Parts: sequence; C-alpha cells; structure tokens
Amino acid sequence: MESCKITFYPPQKSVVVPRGTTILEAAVQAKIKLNAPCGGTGQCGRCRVKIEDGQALVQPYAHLTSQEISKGICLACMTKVEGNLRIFIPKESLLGEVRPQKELPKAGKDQEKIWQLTPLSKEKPYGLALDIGTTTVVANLIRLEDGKSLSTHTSFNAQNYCGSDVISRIVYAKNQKRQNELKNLIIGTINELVEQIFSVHKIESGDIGCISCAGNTTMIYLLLGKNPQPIREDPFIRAQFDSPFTAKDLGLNVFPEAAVYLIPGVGSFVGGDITAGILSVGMNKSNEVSLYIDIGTNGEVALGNKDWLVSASCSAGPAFEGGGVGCGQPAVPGAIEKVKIESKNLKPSFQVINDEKATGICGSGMIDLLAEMFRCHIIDRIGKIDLDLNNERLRIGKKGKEYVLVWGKDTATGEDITINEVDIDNLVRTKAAVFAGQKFLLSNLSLSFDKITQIYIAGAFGNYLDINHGVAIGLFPGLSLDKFKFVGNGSLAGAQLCLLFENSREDANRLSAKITYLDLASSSLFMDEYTAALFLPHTDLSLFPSQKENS
Amino acid sequence: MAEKIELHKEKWLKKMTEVILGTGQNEGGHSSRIFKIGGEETLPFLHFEGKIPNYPLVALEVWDTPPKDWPDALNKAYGKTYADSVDWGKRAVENFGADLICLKLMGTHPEKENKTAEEAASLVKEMIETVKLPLIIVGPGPYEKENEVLIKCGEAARGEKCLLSTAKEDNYRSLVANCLANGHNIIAQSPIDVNIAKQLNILISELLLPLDRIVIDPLAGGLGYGLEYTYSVMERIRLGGLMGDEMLAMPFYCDVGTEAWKVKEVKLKENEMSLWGDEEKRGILWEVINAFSLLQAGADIVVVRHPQSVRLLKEAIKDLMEGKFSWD
Amino acid sequence: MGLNALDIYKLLPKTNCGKCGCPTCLAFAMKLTTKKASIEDCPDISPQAKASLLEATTPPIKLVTLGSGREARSIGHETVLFRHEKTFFNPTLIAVEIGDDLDMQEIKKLVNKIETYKFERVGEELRIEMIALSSKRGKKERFVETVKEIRKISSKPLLLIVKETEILEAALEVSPQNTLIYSRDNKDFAVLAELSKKFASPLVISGKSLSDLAERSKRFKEMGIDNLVLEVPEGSLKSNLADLTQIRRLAIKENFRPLGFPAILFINDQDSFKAGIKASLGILKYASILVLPDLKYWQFLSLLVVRQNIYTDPQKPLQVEPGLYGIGEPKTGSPLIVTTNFSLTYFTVSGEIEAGGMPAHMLIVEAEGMSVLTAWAAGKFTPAQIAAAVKKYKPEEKLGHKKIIIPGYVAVLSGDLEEELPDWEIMVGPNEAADIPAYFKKIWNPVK
Repeated sequence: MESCKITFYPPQKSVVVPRGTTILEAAVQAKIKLNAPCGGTGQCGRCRVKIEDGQALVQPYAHLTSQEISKGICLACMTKVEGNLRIFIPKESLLGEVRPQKELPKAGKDQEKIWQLTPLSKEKPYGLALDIGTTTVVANLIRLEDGKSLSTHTSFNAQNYCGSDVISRIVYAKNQKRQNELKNLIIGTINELVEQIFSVHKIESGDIGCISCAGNTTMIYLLLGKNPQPIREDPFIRAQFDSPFTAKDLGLNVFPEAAVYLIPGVGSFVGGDITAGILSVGMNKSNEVSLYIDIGTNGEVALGNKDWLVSASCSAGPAFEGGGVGCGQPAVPGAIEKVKIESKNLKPSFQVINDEKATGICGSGMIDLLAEMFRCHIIDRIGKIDLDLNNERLRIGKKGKEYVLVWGKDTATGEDITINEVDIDNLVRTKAAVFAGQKFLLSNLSLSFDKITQIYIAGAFGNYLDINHGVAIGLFPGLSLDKFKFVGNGSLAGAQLCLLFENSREDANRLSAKITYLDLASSSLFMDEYTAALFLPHTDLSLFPSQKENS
Repeated sequence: MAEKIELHKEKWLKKMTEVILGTGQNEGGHSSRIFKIGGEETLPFLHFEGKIPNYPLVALEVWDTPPKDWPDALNKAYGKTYADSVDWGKRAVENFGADLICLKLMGTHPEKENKTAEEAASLVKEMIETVKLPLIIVGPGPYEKENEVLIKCGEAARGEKCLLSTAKEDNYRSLVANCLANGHNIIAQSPIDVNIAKQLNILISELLLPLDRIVIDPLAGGLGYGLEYTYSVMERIRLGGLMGDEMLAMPFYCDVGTEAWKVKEVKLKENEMSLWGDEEKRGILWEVINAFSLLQAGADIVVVRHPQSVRLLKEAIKDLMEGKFSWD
Repeated sequence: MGLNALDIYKLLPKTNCGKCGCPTCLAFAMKLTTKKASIEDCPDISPQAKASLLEATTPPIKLVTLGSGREARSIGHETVLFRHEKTFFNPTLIAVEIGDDLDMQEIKKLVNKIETYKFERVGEELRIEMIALSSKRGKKERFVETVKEIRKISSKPLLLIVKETEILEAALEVSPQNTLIYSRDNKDFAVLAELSKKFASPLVISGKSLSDLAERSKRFKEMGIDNLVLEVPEGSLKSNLADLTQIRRLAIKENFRPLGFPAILFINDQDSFKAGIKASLGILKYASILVLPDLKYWQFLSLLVVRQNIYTDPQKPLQVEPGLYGIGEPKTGSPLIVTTNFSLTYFTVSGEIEAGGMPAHMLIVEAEGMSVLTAWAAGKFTPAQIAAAVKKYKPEEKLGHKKIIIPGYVAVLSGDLEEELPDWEIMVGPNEAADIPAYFKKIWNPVK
C-alpha cells in the first residue's frame, strides 16, 4: 500500500500519508501537536503514542521499556507507518500551552511547526551542539530550519595528556602560558571536529551560525583561557560567564559572528553539562523525584523535581572510560563492550565494538565483567580473586592475581587481555564513589531510594549498558528495572535543546541558579557511604533485595 | 507522694548473639569455667529495658616473651613474673583475679625472636592445662607468620573454644578455616569503621563460620588518642544489632592495655610534669577509664595490663550489674 | 532539629535570593539542620513559618548559664542521646568542692591550685570550670568571708552548698552573677524560689527518685522558676546510669519538660579511683556538672581527657595526629613515605607496610583528615605543606638519608616539591597502598 490512513484519537482526526512517514510527521499533518522538545530525534521520549491497530516499523529505543513495547507503545518520531493505523495519544504526549513567540518564524514551506524552533541565531542554516568532556568531545551538526540532527563526531580531548581528570588539569593550568596551551588544545580539538563536519556535509565554515556548548566548569574555564584555580576553592562558585561570546572570540572556525551559548553550570564540579543533562530528561518539570547519574570521568549525580534539585560530583575517576584499568579503554572500535561468563568452566563470551579483534575493554564491558566474575564466584565481595577455583584462566600475573578474558592469540595486539585485583579494586572504588554520591544526596534530604520514580543514566558508554549488571555490582540501586532509563549522552541532548529553543536556554539559566550544589569532599557522611559501598553489591544488602543470595 | 513518672523504654528488635568460651572437663576440654559473652537485650547496663545475662570479662595480657619496655608501674606490679609465661598466666588468674588471659605471641614475630609456631603451640597447651581456662590467643602481626602460628596453636587447643586473633578484611580465610577445623571463636578486627566491621562479618559468615563464633574487635582507640572514634563506632554497631542487623549483633573485644600504656600521659613521670601527678596511680586510672569507657559502649571483653585495673574494673562492673535503681 | 532539610525548605520563601549567604534556599535549609545557620539569617521568611521552625527546634533541655564574664559557662541544650547522631554540645563542667571549715590559708592555697591547674592538649586548654563551697559549720560570717576570699583569687562560677536560707542569702549578696545554689535539705521551696529570682541564680533540685525530681521541678515552675539543675539521686553506678539515661531520654524523646534540665552528679567516694570511675560515667553519660571532693592531679588528667574526647564534634573526619611514625621498627636507611592524616589512609598504608615486612617511616601531614586525593583536590596536600612537615618533624634525623616517597596519585607534585625541598630526593611511590611492599622490594631495597 502506498497510502496509509492514520487515525488519531483523542481528538478524533485522520490523515492519509505515504508509507514510511513517521507517526510524528503524520501527526503534524493532522494538525496534532505532539510533544517533541528534542526535535524528533528520539532523545527525550516525550512523543509516546500507542498503536491500537495496524502495522508500523517500530524501532526499540532506550526510552521505552520492553513492557511498553509489548503493549504497543512507541515513539512517534522514530516509528514509520507501514499501513493503516489507529493510534491512541496519551495526554502527556501532547504539547502544552504554547508560549507566545518573540519572533514570528519566516514564512516557509511548513507554516505550522509543532515545535516552535527558536534557535540561538537564525543567520545561518546550521548550528552546532557541543559536549566538551574531560576525555572526549562530541560535536553534533544541526539543521536549524527543522532542528534535524545531521551527524555526530567524536574526538578525544587533546588536553588529555595534561591530566586525565579535572583536578590534574587544573593543577597543570597553573600559569598563563599553560592556560593558553590548554585553551589552544581544546579549540584545536573542536576545530578538527568542525573540519570533519565540513568535509562530510560539504558545507562551508560560514554556514554554521550558532553554537551551544555543554561542558563541566573546568572545561569551560579552559576553553575561555581563564585561570581555573578558583574552582578548587571554597566557595564553590557557579560558572557564570560574561556572555555572549562569538566564535571569533573563542577562535572557532565557523561563522565569525556565530553566537556561542555556554550552558551555565551549578558549582565548581557540577557544570553546564549536568545542567544540560537535567534539562534534556526534563526532571526539572516533573512532580516526581528523579535521579540523574552521569558516569563520566567525574561522575556527577543530581536529584530532585520541579520544586527542588541538588547535585554533586563524586570524583569517581576515569575507570569507566578506561583510565587506570590495565586493559581499559573508551568505547571505541576494538573495545569489548559486552561480556558473559559461563559459571561452570569460567569461559567468557564477549562482543567487540565493530566486531574487530579485541584491543581492550570499555566501560560497559567492565561492568559486565565485574558482575559476571562476582556471579561466578571468581571474586568475593571485596573483589579478591579466588585462585582455589583452579582454572587455567585464573593465575598470578605480573601485577598479582588475574583473570584472563581473552588469550593473546585472539587479540589484536597478541597480548592477553586480563583483569587483576588492582584493576578490580579501582573499578570497585569508582562504582562506590558513584553509588555513595547517590546515597549522599538522598541522605541530605532524608529520602530513600524507594521515593525515586525515575533514574536516568547518562554516559559515554557507547550503545550499550546492562543495568542489571550495574545493580549486581552496586553501581546502581536495587530498584526495579522499569525505573531506569539509559539516556546516552544527556549533555549533548541538552546542548541540542539549548541550541534550538529559547525556552531551554531560559530554563538552563534558571536551573543553574536553582540547583543546590553539594560538596562531597569534606563530608564525613559521604566517606561513610563510600566505605559502605566498597563491597559487592553493598554492605547494606537490604538495598539490593534481588541480589541477596550470591552463594 | 510524687506521681510516678513512666520510664522511657526502647523496644529493641534483636538480642545480641551469645558466644561461648571454654569447654568443660566433662566434655573433653580443660576449662574449669565456661564463659558466655553477649546476649544483651538492650544497650550496655540498661537493665530496666532488657536482660543483660552476662557480665563483661576482664582479661590480663600475658606474653610468650618478657616485654622489654613496659613502664615502671607495670614492672613493679609483676616483679619477676615475666620470665615464665605459664607462671605469669597462673598469677594473672589466681592472684590478680583476671577472668581470662590474653596470650600475645609477640616472641614469634619474625623481626624479633622469631620463635617457631611449634614453640607457641606448646606454650598454649601448657597454659590451658595449667590455668584451666580458654585462652585469647593473639598472633604476632605479619600475615604469613601469624597464619602459621595460629594454625598450630589452634590445633594444640583443639576443642577448647578459645578466641583467636586476628582476622582482617585482607587476611581472614586462614583463621576462619582454623576456627572451623579446631572449634574456636574468631576475633574479627576492623579499623574503627562500622561498614568494614559488617563487611568482615559477612565475609566470614559466607565461609560458613556460625555467627555465634564471631567477636568484633573495633580497634580500641586509646584514651586521648581516638577513644571517641571507637566509642561511637561501637555504639553504632550495637544499635545496628539491637535494631535487627544480625551482622552487627556480635560481642565486642577491646584490647586496651596496649594503647593505654604507650602514651606520654602515662609515661611521663611526676617530676617531669608535676601537673599530672603521681605516675603510677595516673597510669592505672588512665587504663581503667579507657576500658570503662569502652564498657559503656558495649565491650564484652576488655584486655588490660595492670593487675589493679582488673580489680577496679571488676568492682565497677559489679556496681553496674547489681543493686537497685533509684525508683526501687 | 526534628525537621529535615526538605521540611524546612517547604517553609522558606524559595526565591534563592542569596541574602542568607547561601546560594539557594535548599542549601540554607540544609545548613539549618546542621545548626550552621540560624533562622534569623533569612529576612524574608514568613512569621508563621518562622514560628513553626522555632517551635520545632527549641531544644528540650534548658540552657543554664553559670558565672559571668569570660569564665561564664553554659550547660544544657543537648539534642541527642548518642554523640554520633550529631554531637554533644556543652561539655560537662567539673567543680572541686571546698569546705569552709578548712584553715583560710589552706582554702586560699586550694583555690590557687584550682586556678592554676590548666594545660594545653591538642589545641585546647583543659581546666576546671567551677568551685563549689560548702558550709560545714553553719556559720554565716565564715561562709560569706570565704566567698569573698575566693572571689579575690578566682572568677570561676561558684556553686554554693548550704542548708540555711539566711547564710545562703548573705552569701549570694557577695557572689557573682549566675551562682549555682544547692540547698538540699532546705524544704522552704518558696524562699529558695525567691532567692533564685532575686539573684538570678540557677537552683539545684534534689529528690530520692526521678518522680520526686519531676514533682519538684513542676512546683518550682509554678512559682516561675525554670533555671534549674537536677541532682542525680545518690546510688550505685547502675542507678546513676539509669537515672542519667532516663532524664536525657525523657527530655529528648518525649519532650518531658519537668525533667528537661541539665543534671549534676555529686561524687562522694573516698576511694579516688572509684570516684574517678564514677566521674567518668557522668562525663560519658549525660551529666552536665560533676562535683568532686578534691583536686588530685593524677585523677583529673584522665577525666579532662575523656571529656575532651567525648565532646569532640564527630562530624570532623577521623584523623591521626600529624607527625613522624615508625611502622615495624624502622632503622637508619629505612624508607620514608609521606601521606595525609586521614585515619583510614594511615591504617591502610601502615597496614601494607607491616604486611610487607619491611619497616618504614611515615610522615603524616595535617590535611584536615582528608584522604590523599581529596586533600590534594582541595589544596590541602600541597608541596608547601609537605615541606613544612619535613621541616617540623625532621625525619632526616632518624632516616640517615634524604629521600621521601610521595603517593603515586600525586606524582604531579614532585616538581614543585623538589623546589620546596632542594636537598631532598623526591621519589614517586605506587598509586595503590597494596603495591607498597612490591615497590619497596623492587625500587627501595636496591637504593640505600
């Protein structure tokens, strides 16, 4: 069938569209205003609809649980029609009151835009959403006319050699010369990404007219060439900048007068990247209490709802991005991203990014590995390897007891890929910091995990994160799976929103002032929670009811 | 007459676990006395809201080698006793009234005399046969030697339900196996941390040592040198146990003497610091108050060094366990 | 505070105006729960909200002030049964009792002794806070004269122990403000109430049991007196502990106002050891004032130190004292590791050194009890601070060399540390404490 009749209700409205159109586009044609703040890119999960009858090509997406999918719920923006459909629109998926616009959109082909795009600047056709991470930088090209995301490019932050974490980088930036050096490095990285974008899309530098930027406080300071030393000192200031900046001010190779919006941060170690993440999942608009966890180099957590929000940085360390773990790496081709171990013979099976020969193991793979080793009793609750299991994969290596994940003959380098007790200790400490951060926020507000409705997990894990395994090792709390949502790169999603919508920029500005920043470093409560979390899954087993028996 | 006020009584959820020390002669052991520690239904000495079935015990330290730099106050009290460990043990119980002996095998330390495990085991055997009591047996410290020594001593005292020390989070397997094989109780030590104490108990119990064979050593802080940390950790652990956490409901063991006698407040003589007064009395009271504070936090066994401390503490314990309330 | 941060937050304006000094209202609410801020700091809070907050936060145990001027002390205002729940706020005051039947010269000597008894310990001055004077012979002139003599030497708060109203009144005429009255066998409560009002003197009330005490306190309350201190009924350690615990519990957990006052424990044991033990019970378990029969230096030291320990704020992280420590009996040529004064760090590192079997020195640097990474991140473990510790504790005298090993995680400090300590060799140790034994074997041993 070439034409498909799509019937929406409530209110009852029908429209005929060609096969392969997304339900969202069909709704537009039917003059139904679906909620799609992310611009129909599948990032926010707001455009949920239910297919009552008919065929559609549903793509599974992180925002949908398997339960929902089995009930016929899908994301309108990501679902293409295959035939006649009858679709139910839940109330929360409809756009609310439209804010009066300051500027009327220029008359174009589609008069009715369901999402009122109010990009940072309309001078040029394209905009850039940037996520400046401590370890990696991501640039996302957006077509401003319709808010469509065209492509995403990632690169390692060239500043890496000046310190793998925020503190070392601040320490490195101790004088003007060093600050200039770091500034040039990050500008260089961004410009490289921009170059890639130009060549892939065959556009010119002058075509990119605005940039929205999410990054932690230190990264932004270094971007601006500012001395970051005050970040480490009390009071833990909120990063506010003398905006607006232009691309020319910063040295970015796009349209020189391009407006640059730096998403404001919350405090010294919770930056605009977290403001952006919180914005992207909308927890600041919800009545229910949600938890947001960004498992990056710094490990930030945020808790709250529309009435109040708190946030802290757990200083978790780069273990989940490969730092400090022997065979650890970021989620790049060649990294093992999924692991399973057979309990009988301790034989592992795994999946490598791009299906290449394994070079190492990335964050999601490490979480799997730790969980599986624990489940198979290779390690005890404090992460010590039990050699008494008498298996050829368990041995004493150069750095002590280790488990061989991949034999040298099967790896890209010819060297065995192993994990030893020091690595495990590092991972346990990292996960303990992140969990303790969550508990710390809750304790400060006299709340418990059962009061949380939704847990958002963001991080540069790549495509995959096994929440179950995260719970098994005590990285995430022992709540039912349907409360978890893996949102991928929340900071980038937030940067996109800020690029395209004035509401979002205003929200970001308000949010950054409203979120209460909590400092963990000096808290004995945090230290106590941290020690409690240095156990698999946790000293308090009652927090993990499903994990009770591991014997 | 005054209107009688109603006392505030807490409703605790769990009784502390009772641990048994010693095996009687009729059961194949050598003990003339069987000890029970723990079993409290409430916070320390608050008899008005729960039963406290067992008196805390006071132990005296006995070494397998003469201590070289103990202060005068102790040397004066013991005279030549140090030379013969078994005699020392005997005097500790018969003359000085200690409930138990804490036998510290310092002589087996590899950097000191490096006595063999066999020598230690032989001493253990002789000591038990002479004093007819279960022993607290403490290894020298460095893991490899300690594990070796304790295994031999555990075997030598097989079936006597002694208390073996020390299990730590990174060295517990050997001692657990030892206690399982030889029927002893384990002292699980953590560095003044509630979480680590609980973690260690979980690890030990997952190796199948029953919960009523575990005693917690929270690492007694010295008076003036961290006492309050231990005190609060003990209160938190005890409260956790009373509130139902079986992994925190074990009796406490506190080694006080070691900490108390090494500090300057005890070592400096009166002529060096007149404002501190007579050093002998000062030292004794210092040790006593150190131990007494920990008793208030729940200590079920305190180990001290001065014979006078034993007497004073036992009298104080009696005064805490017996007699009337003001409202009786 | 009974209310938690969110409850308090709901009562605040939620404008995040910042006038209170906190960036957000929620941050202010959190500070209020830890008593690091006062409700007065918020200029925009509604009167109703303020009233509810104040009501919820009135401490259940009355604050009683003793003495005046620099020597004034307060007791009461406790909110918890266990110090780890928050902290114990006002330390137990210690009073030494003097009988007026002693020779005046003796009395003066004793007062001088009390006055000069003080010394510093861990940054705090330890001393006796009060002097108790008891009327032994019922002689008014003698008692009054003694008070005057005492005041010539000391301005410490006084506790007057006297039965006869007439003598008491005369003494109060010449006593400092807020002198504590103890007139146990005096049943003339109305007169005592008058005196208490007239001289603004706190009053000790006694009874055979807690019910008696509660009854009496109600009577005094009816007469408008609530500046009271409760005497713990005489008895064994078991009895004292029960009474002190009940007084504190009833006040805090049930807001039972008749017993919502600080407690005083009189120690009469002739045996100084037993007296010391009882006194320590008072300090550990909720007594606000202890009265001891004399000042024996050897006895007081333990008491002052146990008081110092128990009344330390537990929110401060577990710390060891900075300095040079020898682990496993190091000799000349043994290595030196420097690290922070966080207890867990100390235990972990010293534990690893011991386990490894090679003795070493540890130089512990004052870092407010933070672990290495935290302290470094917060700027509390810097080359300058390490150098200062080296200069202060002079480890080279015990080492026989000038090599110092810094934790691997802060390798980045080595350059700057070299500048601070030019004649020292800075070695970068392992990241993990667990790797110290291996490090010693491979890297230290060959280098001597």
